[in-house]
Amino acid sequence: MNPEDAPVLDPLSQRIDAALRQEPPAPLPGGFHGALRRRLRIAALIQRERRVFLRRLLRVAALSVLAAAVAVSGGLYWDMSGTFLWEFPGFLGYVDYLAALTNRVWWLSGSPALLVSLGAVVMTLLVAGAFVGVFRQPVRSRLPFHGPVS
Amino acid sequence: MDSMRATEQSDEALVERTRKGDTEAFSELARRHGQTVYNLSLRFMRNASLAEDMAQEAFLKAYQKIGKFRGDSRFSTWLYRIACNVCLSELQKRKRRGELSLVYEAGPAAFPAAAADPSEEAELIRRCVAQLPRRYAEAITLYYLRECSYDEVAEIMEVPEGTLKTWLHRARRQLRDIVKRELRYDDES
Repeated sequence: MNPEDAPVLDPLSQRIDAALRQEPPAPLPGGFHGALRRRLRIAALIQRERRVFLRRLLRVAALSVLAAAVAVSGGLYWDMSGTFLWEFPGFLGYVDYLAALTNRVWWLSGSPALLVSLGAVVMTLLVAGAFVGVFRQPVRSRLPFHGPVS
Repeated sequence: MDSMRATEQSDEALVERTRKGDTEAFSELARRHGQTVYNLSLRFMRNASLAEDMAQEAFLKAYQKIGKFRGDSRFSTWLYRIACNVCLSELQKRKRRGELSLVYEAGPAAFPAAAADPSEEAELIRRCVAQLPRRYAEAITLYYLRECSYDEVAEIMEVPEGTLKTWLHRARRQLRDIVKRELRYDDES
């Protein structure tokens, strides 16, 4: 602090100023660095696991999209819609069963597009939730402070 | 050998090594700045074990966010800013839970203006800082820690120096009122 900046103080302010100014520096607690190293190691492990998980997730997502694209392209190319409907025993019946089931629910009857949209919204929310859960910053309570980590 | 090399390196070099995943480099940074961060936390929290917890939390946050450190300021400035935020957030939580107020339930007579022990009185005065608004408490604590200069404190708090001076002036005035109320000082004392 510059001495010229010091304001003119009344006795109480002087006592406050002295109390704040004269606080001696405290020594660092004994096990501080050891505990910090343990916590850092855990944090580094969490970060590494997160990166590995993200890489795997992206790989699986890319493969799934690729597989779906290949399947749809193949289906369209060889016109396999008839194959699914007529060649697999019971497939058409199962489609009829699902259609009948959705028709029984009053707010879905006659609007299969709504069902598809709802399904997409639920799936999106689930995937977004999983991402948020995995990639949010770890809170203090999730990192053991005095835990038996060596 | 590696640790010997680490002790000779600048903060910036250690930050670079930490970015590449070297936790040993960050441990060296913690060794360099641990004392100040701990004392900063202690001044906010007024409790040794809480201060230790907050200091460690500050270092962990710094480690996790080191990729976002752009190097516009010194590493220590950035680290102290994190430590302040960690402590002030914790104090805010405790304030909300009502765990912070200085309550002297025995009444004014039990706490005379002139405390028997001057060091005890000084400690009680320091505790009153926690009752200041967040930015004032931060300004006062940083200013009196290691006798920091205005420009250092202003850089840590990311405000212009003039604003900091105004805040310090208001903080002192408010702190005086708090001390007067909490420690039952008369106008003459």
